[in-house]
Amino acid sequence: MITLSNVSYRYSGSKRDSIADFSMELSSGKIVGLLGANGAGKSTLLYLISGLLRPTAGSVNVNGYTPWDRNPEFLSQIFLVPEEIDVPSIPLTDFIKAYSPFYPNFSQQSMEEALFHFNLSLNIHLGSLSMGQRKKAYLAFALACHTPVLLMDEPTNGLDIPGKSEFRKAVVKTMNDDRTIIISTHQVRDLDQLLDHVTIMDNKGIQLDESIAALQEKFIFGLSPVLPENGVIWSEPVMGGYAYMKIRTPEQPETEVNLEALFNYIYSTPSRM
Amino acid sequence: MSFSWSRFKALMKSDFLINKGTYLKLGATAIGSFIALAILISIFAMNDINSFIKLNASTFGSSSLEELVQSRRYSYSCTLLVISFWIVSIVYTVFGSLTFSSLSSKKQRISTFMLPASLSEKFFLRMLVYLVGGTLTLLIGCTLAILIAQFTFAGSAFINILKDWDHIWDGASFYITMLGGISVILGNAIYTLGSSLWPKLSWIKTWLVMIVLQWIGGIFLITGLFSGIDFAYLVKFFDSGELLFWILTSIMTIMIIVCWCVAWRRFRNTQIIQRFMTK
Repeated sequence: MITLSNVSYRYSGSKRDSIADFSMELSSGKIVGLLGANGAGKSTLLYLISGLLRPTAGSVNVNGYTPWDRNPEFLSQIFLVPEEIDVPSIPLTDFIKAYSPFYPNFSQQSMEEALFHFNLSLNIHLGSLSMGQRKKAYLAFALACHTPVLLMDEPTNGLDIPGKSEFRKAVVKTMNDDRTIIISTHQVRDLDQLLDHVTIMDNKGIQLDESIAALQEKFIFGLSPVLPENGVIWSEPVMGGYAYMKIRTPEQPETEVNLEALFNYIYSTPSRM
Repeated sequence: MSFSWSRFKALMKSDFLINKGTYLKLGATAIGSFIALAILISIFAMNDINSFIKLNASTFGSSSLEELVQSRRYSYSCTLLVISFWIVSIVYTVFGSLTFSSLSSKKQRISTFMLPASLSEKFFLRMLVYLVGGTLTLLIGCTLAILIAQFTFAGSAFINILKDWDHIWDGASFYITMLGGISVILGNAIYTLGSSLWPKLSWIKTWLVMIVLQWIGGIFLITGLFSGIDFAYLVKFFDSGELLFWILTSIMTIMIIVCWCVAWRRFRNTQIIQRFMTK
């Protein structure tokens, strides 16, 4: 369980809070998409959850630990994949030998499976890989650690198209009821059909905090060659017509959530939610 | 402050696996500089001694010639020791300034602070590598330099230096040696503190601060002299050199501890995004 209660954070030298009076509660067993434009405070939120920043007000609690205490037991239960990773120039086997002893749930089998998904093998030297490949190897390690909390900041940045799809598969494969995965991104299309829960934030705070199931119950997302006449609450021209959002009535079938449409709707009219 | 030896061992192993290349390069550079110095001085000394013997063999008797050669060996050995001391002082400050180099970028700070070990374990590991490891490296370097000199030109010069060192300062050699050692450690501690404040380009930044502080100290001294303060009297006030030594040693020891404590505090409170003093 991750709980943030009235958390504020202000970077020194800044005139406004990066995160102001922010509250959120997340239970285990969910893949949460943390969406927001650049500068919305997504990374700051992840750093507060992982104890890399100390809140200027409020409190953060992750599975009973206060992250800022940087307790080793807490750190062995959380893994952060930052947007830019620091990977040493050593063989991957050495990297695993160096870091895996700190993560009690680390599974060599999961590591090999995730590497296989990413079209990599164990016998590689991290120094000889491209940036994208290094990120894949790092993501494979992060997933194989099976930490109860996994935070990923823009994990698909730098991945090629097959890599993004393999990433989604690998995340689903390592997911279980005891794990919480938070994925922060502004590339909403990369997370299609992966999330259980969506949190959309801007610099004023949370604009939307709903499960995918609830969103499917409330809205219809569609694509039409012409703009539908009735009940459209948001639309935008796309290739081949219009992407739109409507309020769903109980008799209408549920549709897949179009994260990009939802995101744009929230960002264009935040007060409506 | 939690500390577990088993986790510390795992941390050491992990650190060595990740940074062994860097550590080996650093160690090789430090030891290499002593070896290079010893070889250079040996070449100079041997050439000089050989040509001296050739030129003066007929002029002096064998015993007075040997005496003159001994004095040359002695002087080159002293030069080697003095330059070695300077290398130790400088390399020690470099090691100090590298102590928290792993915090110089946001990526590295994330790696450091997200690793499941306690802050005290991470801090002591940095100190172990750069203070204890650095000291051992410098000792090995010095020993190798002396051995090279011994095998090439020194003869009994080092034994004579040791004997003279005990007499030349009228019994104060212990104090002088201690003060030298403590001042070298103080140099390391100051640069370790600098490294915790400015992990990036730490050595240069700390050096500049030290220069500014020395200027301020110099101005204070000159102002004091012009306003009639009798510094000589202040020195005389400590009626024995021994008392002065203990006071200086205590001040320097306190300064070392303060530097380490402030570095620890700074390390403990480091956040991932620092807008002050890290750029």
